[in-house]
Amino acid sequence: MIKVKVETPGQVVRFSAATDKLYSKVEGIYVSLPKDESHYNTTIELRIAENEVFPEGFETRLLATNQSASPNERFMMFDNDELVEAAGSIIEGRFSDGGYTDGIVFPYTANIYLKLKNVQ
Amino acid sequence: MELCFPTLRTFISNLKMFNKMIIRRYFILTITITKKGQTVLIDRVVPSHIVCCKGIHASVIGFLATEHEIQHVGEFSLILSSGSVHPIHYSVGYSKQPLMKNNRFMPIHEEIASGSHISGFYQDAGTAKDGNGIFLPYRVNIYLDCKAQK
Repeated sequence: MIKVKVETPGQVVRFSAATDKLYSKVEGIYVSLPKDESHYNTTIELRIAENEVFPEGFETRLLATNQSASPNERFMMFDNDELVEAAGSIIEGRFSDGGYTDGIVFPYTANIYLKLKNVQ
Repeated sequence: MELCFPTLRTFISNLKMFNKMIIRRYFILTITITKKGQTVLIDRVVPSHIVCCKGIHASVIGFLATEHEIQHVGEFSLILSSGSVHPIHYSVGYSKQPLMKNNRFMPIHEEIASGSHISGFYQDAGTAKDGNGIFLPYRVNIYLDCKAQK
């Protein structure tokens, strides 16, 4: 899980992390924000192992679900044979808050969950 | 590799033989609507490394100060591979709920000719209004979930 702290409305936060070396593949991704309304206009740009996964302007709400989905269903899954390499890969991203403030408390923390798998 | 369609299987196999990796690429078309009933023409060159597209999703970006959900904010029509296929003509709606249970792409199965154009239009329906009936400008993202060769 990658935690991104957003201090102010409209803030752009760059983040980087590394995947767990014990797992070979990123299978899916899920983005969770404290309030659903925080997803309005909010975007994420993501690269894993120097490969573009989500381009600039990709809305986080396409990587989220409401709470009626079971935990396993919340992930946006990559295709079975699509290799998004884990094994210590560098993750680089840019999280852009959408600037919606009605009922949103700042600062808040965005959680980015990666589902990892070890493929032999 | 989950293929766009079976006839592409040979093509993908050939790419693998030459050590070309097939990777996911999202292609985003952003439409800005400022006037009621506005029609925006779409004409973009698809990056040449994209070989096929397998999903489409279109939605209003961000928040609209409407008092209710809107079933039909506008409609869009897309033609791929410089006019050779017309995979979609569909409506775009707006929900006040920012999240649905699962945001799924509508599956399509279209090969993209290298360097070809994606064209079409978006037409506003004039239904994006606030409580006083005043039109609300908005933006729409049309996402194409594609495969590219690396």
